[in-house]
Amino acid sequence: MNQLMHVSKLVFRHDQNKRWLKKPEVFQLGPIDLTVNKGETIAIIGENRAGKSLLAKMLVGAVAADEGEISLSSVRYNAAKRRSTRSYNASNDIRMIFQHSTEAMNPGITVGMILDEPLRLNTRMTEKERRARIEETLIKVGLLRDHVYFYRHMLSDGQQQRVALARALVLQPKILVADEPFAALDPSIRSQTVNQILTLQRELGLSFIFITHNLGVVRHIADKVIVMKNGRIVESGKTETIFRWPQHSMTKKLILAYQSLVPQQKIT
Amino acid sequence: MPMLDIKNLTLEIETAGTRVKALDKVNLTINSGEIRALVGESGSGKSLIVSAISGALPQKFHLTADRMSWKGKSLLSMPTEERRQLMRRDIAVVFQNPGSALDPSATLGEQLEESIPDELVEGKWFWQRRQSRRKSAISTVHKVGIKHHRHYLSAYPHQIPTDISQKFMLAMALISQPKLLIADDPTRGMETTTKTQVLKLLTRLNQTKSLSILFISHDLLAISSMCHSMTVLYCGQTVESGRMKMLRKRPLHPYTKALLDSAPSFQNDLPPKSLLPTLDGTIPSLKHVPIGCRLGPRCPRAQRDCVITPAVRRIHDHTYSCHFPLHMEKL
Repeated sequence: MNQLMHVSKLVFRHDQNKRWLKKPEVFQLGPIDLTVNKGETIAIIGENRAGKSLLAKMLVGAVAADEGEISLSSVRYNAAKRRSTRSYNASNDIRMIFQHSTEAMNPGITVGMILDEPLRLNTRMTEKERRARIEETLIKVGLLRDHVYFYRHMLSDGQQQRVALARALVLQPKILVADEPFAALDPSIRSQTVNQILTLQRELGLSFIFITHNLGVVRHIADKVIVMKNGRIVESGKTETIFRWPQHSMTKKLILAYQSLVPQQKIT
Repeated sequence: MPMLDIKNLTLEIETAGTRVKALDKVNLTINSGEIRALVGESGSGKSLIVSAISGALPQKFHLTADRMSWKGKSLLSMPTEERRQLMRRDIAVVFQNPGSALDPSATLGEQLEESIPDELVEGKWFWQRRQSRRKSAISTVHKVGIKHHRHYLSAYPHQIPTDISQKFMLAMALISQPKLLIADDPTRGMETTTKTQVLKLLTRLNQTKSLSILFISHDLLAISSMCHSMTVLYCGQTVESGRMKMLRKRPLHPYTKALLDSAPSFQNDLPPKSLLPTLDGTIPSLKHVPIGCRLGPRCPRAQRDCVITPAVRRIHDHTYSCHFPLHMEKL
């Protein structure tokens, strides 16, 4: 089987302690079951505050879960245990691009150092090997070798997005998780980024999980769609099926809202 | 007669001894009862046009225009007081960053009630007037799709999420019942369902109250669903402008075509996972704008003549500025 990742019964609870005359705020994410195959693109859609970003962070291990198990490339991790989470984080098979990817970069250091950091902390490569890997990654995402010496502010929006992509790819992960990768980009830069991701997927066989509000892009690049509401997955399936025959009311709402914007096909 | 008429608007910014043309001969007209879209990527000067119309430009910027008039009256030679009255009553502006455009030291309710003009408040005595203000504030907030008015009207701007503050800016603009609404990216980052709500509201206001709207965005899906006409801006130059239908069917300028191509939803026959057609390169910064047609270095059809700024040409009400337009053989 080319199953790469399997998530079972992942739960996150957020409960603020009850204060004087104030109702406790309770938010529960999950239980979530999810399977990711090799080379697959999964889109997560849903309204605001549905727990999409939280799910992405939990998948990469940035936020610890309260219950559940993740098995990644045939190693099982208990997501609730601290030590297990640490070894999960050290596995390098899953990486993330953050929501405001450009603001998530240190403005004080060069691009080369930004890309060097994950390598230095996670691998035992020598400096020369690291340097070679960084240059290789930069070329892969469509930048030049010289960009190693650049600072964040010297790059344009599209190039910054590419650096964020390079930072995620430098450890050669198998799965890439992205939180709203296209939202802040201009149309022409956005299609460049979409193309970049599509070509990388074809070359490296990456699996790609992304969150977005832009259903047009979802329809174009996703294989599978997950619809979330109030911390739960309410519907999931193949993209075409979801777009043509939405079952759940939430999915219907989203798809209808999107269809009302799209110019209807005319018979000519 | 057009409501707002701008011809050859040029804006120069002085940086380190040299003058940079941030806007270069921009033309824009809005007829009454029309929804016009202004499309352009970041750095194309969309927001500068908004500030130029609303008169919120810093003194250092040099603004020149052949014509810039509101219902026949020139905006440039108008006394400041009159212009302020005009901005208060007839034109309403929704600014780009709703979070930072709101006053952080007052509650949303106070800000909203403050922006109701006096002549729209009913009643003679202060308690009647207060009630009337409150009532119209609540009804406007409901109109833009904010449900829990009691909670949000007594909240401060930092306490509310971005999508609510976006809607709130819209409410503040609409409460004075303007004739022209200038909306600078009102749907940025909104989820699809809320976006359609807002677009429907704007369309309805346009139909029932014949409100003209200048809709500034780069979300072509939203634009094509509601706008009547469109002006495309690239790097401070108006590239193409005309009726929405015409532009969709037969874009003459390569940049308009590239923009339309960038939304995968427009092409029904596009196979999934195929590469999208794009323009190479990135948007040039203001310090390094190319001479002549500013799209030049990125344009697939560029030739030697493109170093000369193309003149504005016109086919019926479709204007464009390009030396080598697309789709000419069909015309």
